[in-house]
Amino acid sequence: MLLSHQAPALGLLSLCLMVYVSLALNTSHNTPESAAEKCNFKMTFRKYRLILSWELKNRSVVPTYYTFGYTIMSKREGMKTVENCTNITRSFCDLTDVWQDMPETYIPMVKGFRGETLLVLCLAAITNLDLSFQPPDFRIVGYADHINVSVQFPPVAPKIYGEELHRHASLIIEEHSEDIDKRHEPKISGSFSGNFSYVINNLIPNTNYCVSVYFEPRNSRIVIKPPLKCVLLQLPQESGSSKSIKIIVFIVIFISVAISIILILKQIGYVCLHTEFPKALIFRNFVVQIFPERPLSEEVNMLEVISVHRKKKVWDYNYDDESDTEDEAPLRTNARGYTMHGLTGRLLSQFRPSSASSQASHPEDPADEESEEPDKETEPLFQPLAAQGPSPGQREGPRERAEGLPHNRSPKDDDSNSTGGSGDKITFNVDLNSVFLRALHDDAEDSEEAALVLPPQEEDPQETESSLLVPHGKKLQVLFPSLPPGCLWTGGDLSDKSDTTSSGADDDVRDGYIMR
Amino acid sequence: MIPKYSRLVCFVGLFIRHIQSQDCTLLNVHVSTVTKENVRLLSSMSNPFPLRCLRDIKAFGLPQNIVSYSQPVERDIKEVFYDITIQALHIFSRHTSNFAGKEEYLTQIKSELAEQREYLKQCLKEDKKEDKDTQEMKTHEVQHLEVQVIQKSKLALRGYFKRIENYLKDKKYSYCAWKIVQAEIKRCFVYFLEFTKLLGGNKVYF
Repeated sequence: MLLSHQAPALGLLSLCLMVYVSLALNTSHNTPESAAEKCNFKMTFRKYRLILSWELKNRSVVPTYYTFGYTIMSKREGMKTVENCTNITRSFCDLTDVWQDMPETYIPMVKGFRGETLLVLCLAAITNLDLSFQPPDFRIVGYADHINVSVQFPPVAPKIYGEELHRHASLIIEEHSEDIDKRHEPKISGSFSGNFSYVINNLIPNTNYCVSVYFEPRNSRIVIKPPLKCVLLQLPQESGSSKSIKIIVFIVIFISVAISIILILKQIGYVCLHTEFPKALIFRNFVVQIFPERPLSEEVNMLEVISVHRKKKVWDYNYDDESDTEDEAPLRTNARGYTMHGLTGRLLSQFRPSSASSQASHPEDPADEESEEPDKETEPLFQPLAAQGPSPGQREGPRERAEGLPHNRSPKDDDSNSTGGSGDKITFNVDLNSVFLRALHDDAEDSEEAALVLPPQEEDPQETESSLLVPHGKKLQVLFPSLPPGCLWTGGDLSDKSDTTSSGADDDVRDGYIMR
Repeated sequence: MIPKYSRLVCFVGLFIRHIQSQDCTLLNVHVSTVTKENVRLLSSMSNPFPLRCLRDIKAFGLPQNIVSYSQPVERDIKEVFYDITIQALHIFSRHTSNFAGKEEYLTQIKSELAEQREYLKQCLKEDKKEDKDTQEMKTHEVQHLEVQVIQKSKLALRGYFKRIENYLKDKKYSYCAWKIVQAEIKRCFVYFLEFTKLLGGNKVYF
């Protein structure tokens, strides 16, 4: 009876035990499968090596070492182990020379252990389409208008699934700027080995450009792009100097072209260039105007003109010698019809500077000199009043005589002359036509007055010559064009020492005399 | 109004055939794009691979010699792709209750394959019309040789997909069977993907 009551309980207990055991077995059977679902596999072409890496989804589970194996889907072969990937602590395996059949589906298996305990088991089905390419290492160097891109490949060309890299992917160089994005696909002959350089041309200076280099798989959509490398294209510093050189060259060319054009126009006759600069452009004139030169010192002799009334001796065509005092200048005429009279004068003083008083007429040559050089007699008559030293036409004789002051034979004058007199007497004839009055600095007003104030001519019956304004030669100068013809020195007899009272006043100007 | 629209329709109708014919000129792009998308979808469903399914691995013998001759004809490649598309679509359309993957992925794969099938069918029709014009230029021997090559390729492919279909039947369309079939069809797509470049006159890397 006791057993009958316990039979249902025993049956129930055995049923529960069976369920529990079956559940436990299923769990243990499913452990590899469940463990296999806890891994993420990643096939990567990294640094030109075919790398299979895995990552556990449950990161709390950390195995101490891994064991890697694989099999091929299309071949009923057992699991194959990889020598370098047995009992490894790293979570990746290099399969560059292991997996060499591209179209095959490989099934990798990774076992994770902690000691002897299997913690994780991972499997996957991987083809070449699952392969991702890590971007290569590259450098960029920016210049003024181009960028040099250098890609580093290994010395020996790697193989992926037994084939060259270029069969699986293309090398892409992307160029980015503010407004332009360009894609460059350089044609690489042969395999990817050694250093590869590519130049991006036709870039804009002073612009920031960013470059990216990566592999683009031919059959996969998985593209991994690296971070951009940017460079600012700047003009080299030397370009500044080259710019200045260019500017200088341009200026030189411009100047040469301008000069050549001017010369051509001159040749044609369109432009006439004066060889002589106008006076305004003469620099000397500027200097002279700024720093006026002091006029050359002139040897100015002070002369005292003494009017002597003399009768005009008319030549009676008598060639007999007439008595004549030594003081009396011989009455002579020249070819021009002048009646020459002499004036005696005495040099009051001789001044080197030109600040002399009004001067008398230019001394005439005496008779003795006239005989020697009759032609030159004319010159003194027309020379300026202010004798500037010895002129070319003058001789020493007249100069010497000019040194003497015309002496007035009047007693008054004699007295005046006698004061300084040394007995030196100078006799010369003065042609009023040749008398110049030069306005001196000190006596400018007086000289002008003397020039302007001339009494009308007194008629003298014995006057044979009424006009001194006789044109002669080239040196005719109308000294006193405003003077009436009568304002002429009719002169008198030099031998007559007496001086008429009518003309006694030294300062009066009578009968053409310039009285002082 | 009506006359204007009629003119527009006639204008489009005149050029629609030309547009369709131009579409076949981009056959390589179309086939490559569709194939790559299907491979991506199948890859997303292949991992992780169950350990228990390792015992169900089978070599189906992908025919790799059907396009291995030196100068494959473009039309032959079209024929191959057309057969592959039809067979794969037939496999993915039957007994998919234990399909080892997401349902939406399977739907997308079937849609892509159906569209590619129609596209290749249209292009092959156009090729047949063009062949009639040039058929007189070819000798009888050349024509017979081309037919033999095509027939051989078709037989090889049909045998390959028949083995896959039989495998599924034998495994009763189990989870592991589908896992292995998915991986195998993906491998087939990857292999023939290289030949899409021949459609555009590009070289193929073997």
